[in-house]
Amino acid sequence: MASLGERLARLARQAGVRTAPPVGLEDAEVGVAMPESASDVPASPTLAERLDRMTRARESSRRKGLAEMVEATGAVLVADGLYVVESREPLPFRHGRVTIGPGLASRVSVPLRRGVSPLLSLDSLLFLDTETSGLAGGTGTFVFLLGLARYEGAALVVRQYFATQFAAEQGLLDALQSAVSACDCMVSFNGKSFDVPLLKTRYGLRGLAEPFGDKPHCDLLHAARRLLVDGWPDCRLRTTESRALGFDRVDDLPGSEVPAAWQRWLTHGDARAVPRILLHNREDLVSLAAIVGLLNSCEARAPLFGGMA
Amino acid sequence: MEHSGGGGADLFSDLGDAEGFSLRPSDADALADAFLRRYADRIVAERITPARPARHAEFPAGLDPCLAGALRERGISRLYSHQAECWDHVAAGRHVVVVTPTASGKTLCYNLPVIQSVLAGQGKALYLFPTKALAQDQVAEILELNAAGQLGIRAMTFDGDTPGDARRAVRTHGDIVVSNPDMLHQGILPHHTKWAQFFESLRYVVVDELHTYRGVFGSHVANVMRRLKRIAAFHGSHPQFILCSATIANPRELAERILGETVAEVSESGAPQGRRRLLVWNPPVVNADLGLRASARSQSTRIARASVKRGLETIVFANSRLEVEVITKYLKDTFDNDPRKPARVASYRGGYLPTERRDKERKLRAGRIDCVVSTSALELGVDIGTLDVCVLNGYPGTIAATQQRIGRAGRRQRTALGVLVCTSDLLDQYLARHPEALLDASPEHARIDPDQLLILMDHIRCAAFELPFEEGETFGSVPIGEALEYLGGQGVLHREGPRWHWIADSYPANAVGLRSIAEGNFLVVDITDGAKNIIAEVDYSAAAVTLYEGAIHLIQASPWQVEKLDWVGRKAYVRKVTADYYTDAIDYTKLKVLDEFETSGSGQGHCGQGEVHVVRRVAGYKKIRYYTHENVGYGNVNLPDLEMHTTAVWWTLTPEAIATAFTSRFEALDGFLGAAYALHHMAALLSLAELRDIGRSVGDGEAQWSATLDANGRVSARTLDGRPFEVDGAHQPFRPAVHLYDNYPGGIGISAPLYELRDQVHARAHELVSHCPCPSGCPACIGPVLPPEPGVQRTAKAAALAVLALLGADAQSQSAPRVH
Repeated sequence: MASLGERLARLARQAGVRTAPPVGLEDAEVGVAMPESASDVPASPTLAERLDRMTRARESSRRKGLAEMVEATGAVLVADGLYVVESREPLPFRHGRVTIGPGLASRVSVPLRRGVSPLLSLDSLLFLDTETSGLAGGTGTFVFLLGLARYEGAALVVRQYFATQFAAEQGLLDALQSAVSACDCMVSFNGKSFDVPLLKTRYGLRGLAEPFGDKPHCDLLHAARRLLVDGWPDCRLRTTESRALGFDRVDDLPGSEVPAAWQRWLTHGDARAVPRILLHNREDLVSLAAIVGLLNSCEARAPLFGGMA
Repeated sequence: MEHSGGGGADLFSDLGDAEGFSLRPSDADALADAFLRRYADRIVAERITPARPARHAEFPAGLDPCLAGALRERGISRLYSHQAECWDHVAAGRHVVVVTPTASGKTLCYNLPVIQSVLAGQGKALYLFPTKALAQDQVAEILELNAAGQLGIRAMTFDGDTPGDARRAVRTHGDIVVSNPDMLHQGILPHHTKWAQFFESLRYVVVDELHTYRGVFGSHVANVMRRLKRIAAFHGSHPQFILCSATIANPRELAERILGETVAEVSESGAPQGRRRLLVWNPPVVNADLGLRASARSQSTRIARASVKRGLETIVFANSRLEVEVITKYLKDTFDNDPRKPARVASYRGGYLPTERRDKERKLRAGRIDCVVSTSALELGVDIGTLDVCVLNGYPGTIAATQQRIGRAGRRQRTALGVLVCTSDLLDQYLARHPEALLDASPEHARIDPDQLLILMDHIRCAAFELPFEEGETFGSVPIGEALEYLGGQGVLHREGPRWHWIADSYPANAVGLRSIAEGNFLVVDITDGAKNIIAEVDYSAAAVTLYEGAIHLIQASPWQVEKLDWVGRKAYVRKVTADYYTDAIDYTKLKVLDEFETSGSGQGHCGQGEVHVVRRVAGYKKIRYYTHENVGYGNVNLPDLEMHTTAVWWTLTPEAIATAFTSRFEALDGFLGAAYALHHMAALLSLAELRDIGRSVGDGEAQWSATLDANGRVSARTLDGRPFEVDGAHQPFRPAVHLYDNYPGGIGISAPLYELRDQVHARAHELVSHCPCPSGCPACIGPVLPPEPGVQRTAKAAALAVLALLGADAQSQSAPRVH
């Protein structure tokens, strides 16, 4: 009798299903579990051993990857499997051609929706951006990185919560819960459609109440559409940064490549891309803060208020 | 061809005009009697089902007074017995399947307990219908009841047409959410946390039109139910299922297979039914030499015309959209030639816009249309009221579908008439000769195989996306440890401690269609004017034989030529052409029996069942000129082989029996091909399968050769490469066999029950061929064959009969007769 894998591969081929090659075939040991042809592989007495060896090899490469990640990012372990990377941008700082800091009032106008831009205290804003295992949404999408940023005194403080295991999600969600309840308003880019629904799903899956309630949420994607767009090809964050802030990323890991990079990290302990994921997320957050600054700066007031008239 | 009935037209108009517009509403009885007087030679059978009085039951004691009030308001003061019986099962906490004929008030069976529960604040319900149209009907019906009693029930549809901004309201406020399995699979379960409120209070799941969930679709739906129960349990609910089915042989078994749990059955309808008459009508022979009969279409049209002229509300079912359009046109020519008057004839098929469809249905219910011509679209429970006369233009393919369609005509007080008009197809002609096979047979078994490996794996993926699997968890009753390990190896799942998490960057439900076994339909793209318009979609399994480069692909009878086939991208680029020929793929099959599960003697041979490997190769195609059927050219095709492992049933004879009974091996092959054709059709008739669900091959079962008819109608044995295989070499063992295989990779469970039916299939096939009046073989017995050349010792039909006789039980004791 053929192995399940063998039978499946055969059936899938016959049914015309196009299957992607298994992830990580470059890892020679994965091949061990998938015999070439079941008929000429008798029930191997060494299979269990080989599987065991494979598991141990994987564990060790994951430990190694974790060490590399800590080394490269300065992450601090705060709970089982949950690491935090903290960084500060002392004010004033430059982002693209915009300088954030001088002249930034302690209360800023935050565009919540058309015609509604309340003045809120700068340090009560919570900038939020997540990185996920997939971009399709739904219950099978895991939030492995939660990036939060706040103005604290004279600096923009970025805290990134990195769940290196699924079990670490609880801690990540707890951190978010306290941050959200402590803030007056969340600021995101496309967070109303993507990040927040996904996070709600994660709370739901753990049987926890979601913390968002009717907390004000400024989605800068909508604000950019209303207030900034001027003949732009699209309204993505990259475009907004480039056009409005003059900020062009160098060696950015595109968002679409994040899930695959995370998978390599999770399954093979390949930590090479992790610093780039963290940097990508951090730059997203800093851009959010910068866009709010820009909207409140003199040169942007005209379109801001013009658009709201 | 309208007048091919030879005088029939006059007689028909005579029938209609005699009483057509008289004030006295003549009933279906008079029409049937008139038919029987005039056309005794065409009516091969009549079946009368006596009227059945209603059996009532009082409202159940605990029925909510508001609900009882709403029912009274709608004119319902008692229940039918089956509705009360269903209520009792539900009250006892049992899952229940209700089997009832059309228009017997089945919706109250589920609406009563559900509305009762909602009114008492005891839980919500999910209704699943196979089509969006039925879902909308159901909501309309609940809303009417709602309005009658001011019940305040919120019933809402949730499907692909529900606008984005309304979806949240459905999720949070819907008491009864009416959807379909596809939406549950792709839109609800993968987002179940958004539905948390709904799932937490989910008390009932209603599955209507259960009989449609069979074969591949049913196997998928059974897995969607496994996922639904898993998600409901996660949110703390264990809903009770109420299922409704049209008449099939095994409703309870099907319900239990779909649910994986014990289900109670209610099958005695308490609804009254008027008398029913069913006529089986065989069109008259118009050419006795060739055995040609008048077309079924012209006969159906006339029967409908006579019926409408007598003021009877009439429905005509046809088996293709094209037939529907043609019959509609013929009837409109008669009845709708005055544009100032509202139309009396309408057609109905799938694919209308919702508003257009509802408008037609409303006119039908209100009796403002006298005649509707429909595809199978009206077979399901769309409410169009009841009619007097139902004409079936051709056998629909199953007994269950026949009963469903006939059930469309059925008055409580008056007689209803059904007329099955036979076409010249094999099954139709078989039923014309053996009407008892239709009239006395129980309807078919609906079969599913929820554990079919490909289907199961699809849904394990989807389920893993919805919720991580725990170590040792089962899916339905299936242990899935090995499957999880496999998906782990594929990088789709990741194991952490005792739990398997989804890690792939994809949304697996989008890659799984419930109504087919694999994605990968081919799109037919028209590039005639430089644009790229998608004009059709073709199944993966049919693509190789219809979309090869050079193929003439017919869409609604106009020819398009395939210019380029992108096999990997699943696209065929076609251009509109004018061609006086069509193309026919030349394909070769090799079939190898891998494992014989069971075998038993069959005459001087045996019948077996087991696992087979089938490879089909399309090697080229012939160009065949219309009308003359001349072969006007060949083309080569270079496509990957179609390969599958599946299950099959086969019949074979001992080499000794063959050597004794046939003068040559080719003669024997002729016989096997003809026998295969008859066996194939009878197999489809006796199982619920459609013809295309079963593949047919004659060969050695060792993948060396298979038998085919060449363009000249001569039989040859060929290898997969198309090379002739020398079967006449005396040193070779010669063991041809008829193989009928389950035409889906992995099989969908057709073969095992077919094996159980082997004796019946054989006996019917034998009878079919021996009773066919044709001299030397025809499409109604052994398939299309050319007339025998002069001097041929034995016709293909005689050879097929010899094979079938040798396979027969009585052939065991005696040596087979040499038939000449």
